[in-house]
Amino acid sequence: MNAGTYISGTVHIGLIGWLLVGDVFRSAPQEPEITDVSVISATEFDALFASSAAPEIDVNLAQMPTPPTEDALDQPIQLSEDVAPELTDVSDPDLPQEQESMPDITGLQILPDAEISLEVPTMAAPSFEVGPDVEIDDSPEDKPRDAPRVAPVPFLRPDQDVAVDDTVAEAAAEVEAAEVTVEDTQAAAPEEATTEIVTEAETPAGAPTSVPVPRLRPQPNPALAAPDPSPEPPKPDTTSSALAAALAEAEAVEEPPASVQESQIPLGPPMTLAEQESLRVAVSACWNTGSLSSAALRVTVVVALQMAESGRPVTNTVRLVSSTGGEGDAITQAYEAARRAILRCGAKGYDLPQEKFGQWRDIEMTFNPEKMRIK
Amino acid sequence: MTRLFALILALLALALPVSAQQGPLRIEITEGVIEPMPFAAPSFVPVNADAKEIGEDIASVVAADLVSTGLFRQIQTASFISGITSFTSPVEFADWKAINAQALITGQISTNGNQLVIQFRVYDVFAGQELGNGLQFAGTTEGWRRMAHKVADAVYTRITGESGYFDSRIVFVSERGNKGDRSKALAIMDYDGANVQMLTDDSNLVLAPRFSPSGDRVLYTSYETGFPRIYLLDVGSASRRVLEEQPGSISFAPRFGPDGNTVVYSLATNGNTDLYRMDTTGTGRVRLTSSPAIDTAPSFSPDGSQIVFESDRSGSQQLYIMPATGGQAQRISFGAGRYGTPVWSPRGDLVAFTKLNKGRFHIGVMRTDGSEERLLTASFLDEGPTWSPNGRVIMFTRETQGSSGQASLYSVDITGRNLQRIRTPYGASDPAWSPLQ
Repeated sequence: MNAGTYISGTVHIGLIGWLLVGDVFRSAPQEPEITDVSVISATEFDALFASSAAPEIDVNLAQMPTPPTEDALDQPIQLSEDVAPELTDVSDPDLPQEQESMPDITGLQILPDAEISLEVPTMAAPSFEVGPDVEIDDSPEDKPRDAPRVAPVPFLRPDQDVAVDDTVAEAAAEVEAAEVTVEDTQAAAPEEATTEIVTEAETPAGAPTSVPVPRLRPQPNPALAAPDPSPEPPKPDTTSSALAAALAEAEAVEEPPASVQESQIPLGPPMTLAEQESLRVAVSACWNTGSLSSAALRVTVVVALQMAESGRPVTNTVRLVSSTGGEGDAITQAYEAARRAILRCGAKGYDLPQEKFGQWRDIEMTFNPEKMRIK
Repeated sequence: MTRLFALILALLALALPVSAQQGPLRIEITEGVIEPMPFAAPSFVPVNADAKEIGEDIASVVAADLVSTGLFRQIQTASFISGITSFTSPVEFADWKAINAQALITGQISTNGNQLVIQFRVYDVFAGQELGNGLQFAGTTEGWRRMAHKVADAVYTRITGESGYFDSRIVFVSERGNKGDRSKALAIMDYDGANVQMLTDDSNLVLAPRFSPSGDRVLYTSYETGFPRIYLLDVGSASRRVLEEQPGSISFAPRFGPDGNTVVYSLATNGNTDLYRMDTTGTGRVRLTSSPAIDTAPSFSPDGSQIVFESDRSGSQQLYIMPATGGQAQRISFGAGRYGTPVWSPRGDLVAFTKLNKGRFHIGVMRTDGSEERLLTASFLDEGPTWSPNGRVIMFTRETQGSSGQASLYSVDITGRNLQRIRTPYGASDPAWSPLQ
C-alpha cells in the first residue's frame, strides 16, 4: 500500500459517505408563507373601493390664479390686515371638547352577515379537439445514419481504372498458364522469422532475460573520422535538417525499463480516469482495422507491453497475452494490427504523467473489434 | 442545481485516481479507424542486368494489385529516404518509419534465359519484424505478370489474413456496336482487365458465361441454333459442345455445382420455366422445381447442399432457397422491389443479388436467411453480380442510359466501398470470376 492508495481510499470513502449521510448537512426546509384572508360581500367590496375613487380634476385652467412674475417677486410683500388670521383662545371653556364627546350611533344600521355559498361551482371542462394519432416512423431509413468510421485524414483515391493490354487476339486462342512453381525447399526468410507467436510465458528457460538494445546505425570509424582542425561552418540545409530530425525521431531508442531499479521508479498515485482515457484515445487513433479479414475482426486480443519512461512502448516487450473469438491466422492478424497500433502511435511517446511511471510501466490493452466489424 | 452537482461529481471522478491498481494498467480499445494501410514497394532488386526492367514492372503490378483493393495505399518512390539495394541486407526500419510506411515489400529478381525467379519478403515496419517467411516463385519471363499477381496474393494474405484474388481471371461477354445492333462474343481476361483474349467470335449471340470450380471450363448460353442452348467450352482448347439440346425447349442460365461435375440450369418447355440439374456429360437430368412460375438463375451453395434461385411464384420476382435435390423452397427476400440473379458467396455466408426498386437497379448482399440486406450500388442499370474467389469483392455489369449507353464491368468491396471500373477494350457484360489459379 502506498500513499496514493491511502489518498484514493480516503477521498472515495469521504465522497461516498457524503452522498449517504448528506441530508445531515442539509438545512431544514423553509416554512411556507401563509396569508390570512377574509371573505367579503360585493357590497363591502364596492364600499371599500368607493372611498379610494379617483378625485375629479377641474380642467378649467382659466380660473387658475396667474403665478407671480419675477418682478412681482422682487417687491416686498405687504401684509394686509384683512387677511390677518383669526386667533382663537383655546383655553375658552365654551368650546366643544371633541375628545370627550361620544359619537351618536343610534342612526347606524347593522349590516347583515354576508351570505357565503358553500357550494363550489363546478367548472365546465374546456372542450378541445383531439388530433389524429401521429405515427412516428422509426424505420431505420429515417434514422440518422451513423457517422462513417473513416480515416481522419483524406487520402488520394487510387487510379480506378486498371491498365488494359493493348493486344487483343481476335480469334479464340489457347491460354497458356504460366508455369509457376513454389519452391518450398528453399527458405528465403531469415532464421529469426517465425510463424508462431511466442509469448513471454512460453519463453524457453535458456532464453536471454535482459532486454536487448535495438541495433543502431553503424557508426563511422573514429580513426577515419578525425576532426578537421579548421572545419568550415556547415551550410544550413533545411531539407537535410528535417530529414535528420525525422530519422532521429524514428530511430529513437526507447530505454529498456528492465535496467531501471524498481526502487527508483516513481510509483505515484494511481492513474485517473482522464489519464487512462487519454491513452485509450491515442491508441485508438492508430488501430487500423480496415485491412483485417472478417475472421480477424471477430478476434479480441489482449496485448501486454512495457513502456519506457519516455512514454514510448518498448518494442520487444509487446506480446499476445490471450485471445477470444478466433483461431490460427485470424489471431495472428488481430494481434499484429494491435501491435502496429501500439507501436505506431507510441513512436513519439504517449502523453503520460511522468510522476506515475510506476503505474503505467506495465500495460495490458484489450482490443475488442466488435464495433469495427463489417456490417 | 442538481445538474451542476452531477457535473462536479463527474469531473471529480475523472480527476480522482481510480482505486489502487493491482498488476498492469488495463485499457480496453473498442474503436479504431478504417483507412488504407500505407506500404512501400521499392523496385525488386535485379540480380543480373536483364532483370532490371522486369523487376520494376513486377513491383509495379504488385503495388497496383494491393492498391486496387482499397485496403492499401502505396507510398510513392520519391518519398523514400533510402532504397533497397540488397535483398539480403538488414532493413533500415527507421527510414521507412520516417515516411510512415507500415508495411514494406522487398524482392529480388533473377533471370536465366527464359526462366524467372522472384524472391520477396514482407515486413511490419513499426514492429521491425518480417511478416511470415520469405517466398520464392519460379516461372517464365512471359508469365511475369501472373507471377506478380501471385506475389501480391501472398502479401495480401499475409497482411489481411484472407486469401487474395489477384491471380484470377474473368470470363465475360465482349460487346461491340450500338444498343440496337450489338454483337457479342465470349472473352477472358485477368481480373484487372489485362490480357484480354476472345474465346468465341461474335457471329452468334452469347450470354451468361460461368466458370467451373477449377477454372478450366466455361458454361454459357448461345443462340447458335436460333434458340438459346447451353454450351460447355474448354478454356484451354476453346473446343465446345452442346450440353442440353431437347427439341421444343430452350435452356439457359447454367451454373456449375461445387464438384464441377453437376450443372443446374433453367429449362423452358411449353411456356413454363423450371430448374433442372444434370451431369456435365449431358446425362442424368433431374427436374428440381415444378411450378407454373418462372424459376431461373440458380446458384449452388459452396457445400453443394442448397440452391438459391429467383422465382415469381409469389407474384413478383423474389429469391428462394431449396435443397440441391429439389423440394420445398423457402423465400428469403422480403424487401420492397424485385430481386434477381442471386449468387452464393464462396464463404457461404452471403448471397449477392440484383434488385430493382423505384426505377433504380442495385447490387446488394444479404444473409442466407434473408436478414441484413445491404445495397452496395445504385444506378440506371446494375446487374449480374459475381464473387471474387475470396468472397471479398463483387464484380457486376453497369450500363449507362440512352441509346448510346455502354455496358461496362465494375467491382465493389462488400462493404460498399472502393467502387471501380474495370477497363476493357470494348463494352463488357455478364462477368464471371474464376477461382484462384
